[in-house]
Amino acid sequence: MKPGTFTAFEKTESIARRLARTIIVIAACFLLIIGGMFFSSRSFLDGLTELHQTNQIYDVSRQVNQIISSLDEILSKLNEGGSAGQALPVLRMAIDQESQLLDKALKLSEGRPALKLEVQKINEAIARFTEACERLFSGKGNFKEDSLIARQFALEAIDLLAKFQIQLKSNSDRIFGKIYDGRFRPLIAGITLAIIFTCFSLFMGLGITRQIHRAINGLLEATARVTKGDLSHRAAIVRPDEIGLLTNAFNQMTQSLQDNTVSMLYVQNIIESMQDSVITLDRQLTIVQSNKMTTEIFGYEASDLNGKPCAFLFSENFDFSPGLRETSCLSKSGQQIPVSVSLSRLHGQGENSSGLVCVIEDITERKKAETEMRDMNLALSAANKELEAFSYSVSHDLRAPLRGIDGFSQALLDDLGPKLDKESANHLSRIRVGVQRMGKLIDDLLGLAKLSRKEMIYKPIDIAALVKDVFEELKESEPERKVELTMRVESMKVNADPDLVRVLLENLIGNAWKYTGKVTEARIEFGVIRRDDSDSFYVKDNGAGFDMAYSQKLFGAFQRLHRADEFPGTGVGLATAQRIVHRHGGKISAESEINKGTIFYFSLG
Amino acid sequence: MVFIVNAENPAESISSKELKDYFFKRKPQWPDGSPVRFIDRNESPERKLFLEKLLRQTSEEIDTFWIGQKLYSGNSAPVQAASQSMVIYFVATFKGAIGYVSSASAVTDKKVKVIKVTE
Repeated sequence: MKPGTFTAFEKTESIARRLARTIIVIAACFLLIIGGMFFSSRSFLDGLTELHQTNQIYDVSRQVNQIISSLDEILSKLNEGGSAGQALPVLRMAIDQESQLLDKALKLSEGRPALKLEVQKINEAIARFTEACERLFSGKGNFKEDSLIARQFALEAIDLLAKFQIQLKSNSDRIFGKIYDGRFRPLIAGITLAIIFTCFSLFMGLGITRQIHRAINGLLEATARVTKGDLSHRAAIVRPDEIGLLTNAFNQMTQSLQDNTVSMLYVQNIIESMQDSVITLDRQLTIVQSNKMTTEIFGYEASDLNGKPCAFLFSENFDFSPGLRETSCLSKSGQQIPVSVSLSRLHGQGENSSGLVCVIEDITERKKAETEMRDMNLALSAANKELEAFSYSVSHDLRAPLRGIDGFSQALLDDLGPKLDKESANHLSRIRVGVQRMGKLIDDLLGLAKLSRKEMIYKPIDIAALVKDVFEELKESEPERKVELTMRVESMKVNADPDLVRVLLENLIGNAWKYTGKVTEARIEFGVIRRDDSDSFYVKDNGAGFDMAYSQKLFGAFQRLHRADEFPGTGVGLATAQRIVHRHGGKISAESEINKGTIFYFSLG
Repeated sequence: MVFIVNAENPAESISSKELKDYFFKRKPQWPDGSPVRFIDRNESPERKLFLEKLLRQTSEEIDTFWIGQKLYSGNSAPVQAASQSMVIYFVATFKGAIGYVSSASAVTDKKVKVIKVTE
């Protein structure tokens, strides 16, 4: 199998079984040796047994020989002279002994028919002898003749015994010779078999040892390499046995390690790439790890941070409980850095259990921006107030002389009226018109200023009802005009300042009324639509419209996009409307097309 | 000197070699299988003649022979009869017996017969 790849692994061999087989074979060889030794010893043992037996028979025969010889001696003595009667009891005793011995000899030669035969022959010969002796000693018959016969029989028995003994002796010599010749045989057999057995066992054992060794070495080497850091290294699987199984498992583990290391690196990269400082603390608030941004923000190197208690970064009574809070930290250069610190519990195992993770954001810029914004706001609102005060006083102050001009021009007209020529009368009326106009302008300005200073009272109002109200008022003021009002909503409740909203609607619907003045079939529509994820009210007309190119000027005070002779107005109306909408926190905008119509969209918060 | 056997012995004549074999117990059986029983004489003129003429050996030589025989084959020297009448009695008793007497005239028992010994 190629190292580095591992498909589904199947264990088809087994070292354990091979070992078991080896042991069985070795045991079998051992048994063979024992068997061999047993067999080679058998002849040895048999020989010894036979020898022993032979010796025993020999002993018996010797004893018999003794008896017969002694009897023969008695006979010889008798020949030379002596009492036969004395010899008889001796004979009797001798006969008894002999029969006992011969029985013993027969028993001993059991299983050896040749020997048994000999013993029986001897037995017969001795019987003949004893018979002859009996006859002799009984005293009947011729002594000389009988003794001759007896002596012949004695001789024959003795000869047989002698022959028997010689036979036995040669037997035992032969057997002993055989034993002696083969005395080393069992030993040699044993040693030879033992040597063969040892070699065989060694061979088989070495075979297995080598196989296991090679596989394990491969694995050990792989372990060493992986430990050093080479996670791509895989151990080669030598054989599909138990060690192969282990090797496969090791390779899989290494693969898993590799995968995890990659993802670990990935995670580490993320932390290092963050634009915030990330610090992990342990239970004793010692810094375990810090990222690159930490160094950039605080100026300390990683070696200054890791392993040190984090107190030197934070202020004395900093609350380390989990949460988000703003505080001030001390940098290496002694600077106080405003930061936003997010603390959370770090759940882990072992050493990392119940630590803290701090994400620290440098909010210096933000704070600066906030301060700037605050200052700007203050300046702005101050300026606004000044402006309002100014416009109020201006319009107020302008009023006074205007009243004078108006009054005295009127007085002139009253006094001189009939006496004036046409041109002068015209001039005077033009002055009056101008004054009126100026008065209206100032009134409108004043109104606008008042509007800005008015305190807003929020009440729930039905804006649709208000629209209808305002429309009715317009109709009453110009009953001859035919204007159609379309209400897309019949009733709509909003939370707003009723007076301001009335002024707003008076302006918007008033404008719609005004600019449809030249349209025969004037239509005004009011409704609600969804624009940019929020609800907007709209007032739509099919009047004169305006050029969208000049839409920027639309809401500017005194900005008019139509001439006074076309459509009357001071140009403050839309500025007022915008101011009201903005005070409600809403937005106002318009879309239009010349001679087609206009839509004003507005929201109230 | 004549040699005598049992009357029932079928043998009529034997060679001298056979005789010697019978005496020295080299041949223990007659041709018919019966055991040979040689009867010798004690120290006597008959024996002297037997040793000189037939065996052509001295008595000491014979004795030595029998000592050796006892050791190597177990055979003992044949029984020595004290007289000629004993010899005759012996041969008459045993079917396979063979012995020697001084002359044929000494043979008085019908159970005994003389055989010829050829060279």
